[in-house]
Amino acid sequence: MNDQQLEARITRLLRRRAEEASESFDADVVAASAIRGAAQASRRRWRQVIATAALAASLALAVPLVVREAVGDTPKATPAATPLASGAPSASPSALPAPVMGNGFPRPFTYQLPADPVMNTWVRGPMWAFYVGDSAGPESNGYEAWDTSSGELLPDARGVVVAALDSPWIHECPPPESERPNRVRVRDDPAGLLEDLEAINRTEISAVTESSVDGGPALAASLAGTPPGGDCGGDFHLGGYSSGSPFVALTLPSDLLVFDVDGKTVVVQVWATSEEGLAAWRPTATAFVDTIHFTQPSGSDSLLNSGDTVRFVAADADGPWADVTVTRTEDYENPEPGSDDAARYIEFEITFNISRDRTRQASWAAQPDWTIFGESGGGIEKIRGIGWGEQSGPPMRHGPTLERPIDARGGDTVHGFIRAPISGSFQTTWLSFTPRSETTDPVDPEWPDEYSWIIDGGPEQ
Amino acid sequence: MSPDGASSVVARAASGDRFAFTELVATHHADMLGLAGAILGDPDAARDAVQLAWQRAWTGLSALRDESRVRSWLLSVAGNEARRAVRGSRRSAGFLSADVLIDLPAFPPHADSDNLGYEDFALEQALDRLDPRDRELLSLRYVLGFSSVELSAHCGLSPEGIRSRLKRVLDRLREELTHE
Repeated sequence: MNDQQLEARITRLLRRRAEEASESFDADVVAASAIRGAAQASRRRWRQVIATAALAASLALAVPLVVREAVGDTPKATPAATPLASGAPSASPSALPAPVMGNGFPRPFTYQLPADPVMNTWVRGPMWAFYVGDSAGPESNGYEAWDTSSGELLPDARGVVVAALDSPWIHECPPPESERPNRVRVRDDPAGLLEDLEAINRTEISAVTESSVDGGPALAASLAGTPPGGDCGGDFHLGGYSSGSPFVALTLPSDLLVFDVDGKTVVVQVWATSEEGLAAWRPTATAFVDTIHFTQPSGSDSLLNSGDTVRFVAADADGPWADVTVTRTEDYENPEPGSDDAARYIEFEITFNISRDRTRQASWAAQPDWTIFGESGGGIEKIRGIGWGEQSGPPMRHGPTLERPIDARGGDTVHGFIRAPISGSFQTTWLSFTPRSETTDPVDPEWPDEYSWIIDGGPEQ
Repeated sequence: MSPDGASSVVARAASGDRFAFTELVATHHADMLGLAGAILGDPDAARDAVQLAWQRAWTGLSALRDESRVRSWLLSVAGNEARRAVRGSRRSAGFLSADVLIDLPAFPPHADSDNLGYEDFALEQALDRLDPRDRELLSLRYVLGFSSVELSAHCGLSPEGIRSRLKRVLDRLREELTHE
């Protein structure tokens, strides 16, 4: 097959795909929906603050011991993460950290975001990124450091990355002349990683010094942020082998802290887009890094045990909760018929009481690795297993969402089930239900943007 | 529309003018859908991706410095959202249970003359195994008709680099089809 024949076939296939996606559209509706969606995303950011405050209030009243211990430790008087210069802490006491577990993290960790500037949280698996600025970047990677159209560095961008490594790799520099992939696994112990970055990727790294994070030893180094020449990569990836996997950028002036948590290497990167910007950002960032606390030894038992119950805390106290109730929790073994899965699970049943006729497309978001079941007219069915959270966060803002049509008449109830394994370090997590499309209900044309709960792994009150 | 007119619409949209934003949607939505559809091969996912792209465009337009590049920028946003959807679906696919997987269509889904034959099915499979960025490149070239120079500006590579990359992708597809 020659080039022309191949191109003709590709053209035909891709054009057919494009045509299948084409639809008659109303530009007014598309634009209005986009503007509304952007506004909702903005409101969710504020809800994050409300949610953490609600969690704080609930935890102050009656809490499971470990969660209280985790939260009670903050702000924690940990040794300063030298050599980052200590500055006046700007973390707000009201911005309580959410105890979270990063997928791929050896332990959950808590943190306390500064009150000023407002920082956004971006999570993809083992990478937790906190940055200043709006997440307007179409290709979000946790940095938001580059202008999306020109590729130039944004002068005021700055942030902190907390990332756990699992078989990291970098781009060999200079790239091999052969056709073999320009990807090389690097050592994932703290000292080995820093050495390999310098030796294999030619990353410009300062002298390595001893430091500490959360009371434990760490290695500290600074990156000049000089872009490597040629086709050398400007990042290292945390794991996997995909170019789309989370990465730590090496082309930004930054301070690195590399340390071990239960046998896994964690990297904290304080970055800005200029040396001057980094110097100005360092005090606030250092205060933030000092609040990071890994809460629970790995391998310990879950906070939840068989027979435990959980409670749901409405994240938005002003939300209209009458339509939605959590009616039952239960745990059991082997939930799947025929499954040899010996894990124990806990299941949350959520009932939507439909007061008026609704036709909705709904979106679920929940903690990664949970399984969502739903009932809509027929029997209960497993909707889909879910994996990583594309945009999970504390609390999850987007998460792995599952869409499900809900067609219900007044007086109906619609049940949803969330099934979570009782293992690992389940503590406190997040669940939301987001009505999406338009309703035909003339009386109540809009459901709330989002119903959401914090699920507290403690005794039911 | 004149370049000045186009710039004016972009500037007004970037400043929060909903009517101007709607005008941008009317002008570019179809191309963005086509691009996302070609990348994803799933009409519904493409529509979702483009809707998200418009959401990001609304908040990100003010960062667009060269207003004459609005088409390329919007296509980039749509392409990015489509690639993100590809990654999300791949990630989720790893967790699909067997009872879900058995619902997937068996090969070939439509083996009659009006639909996909074996060769096209194989090509489609090969296309889907490409890096989404390469699929985006092919879509821009063969669906939207970008020239090498336009692709060069869009991708930030030299025209020679674009031609070289296109050739590599075509070679890879040809090789995969040969081994089918």
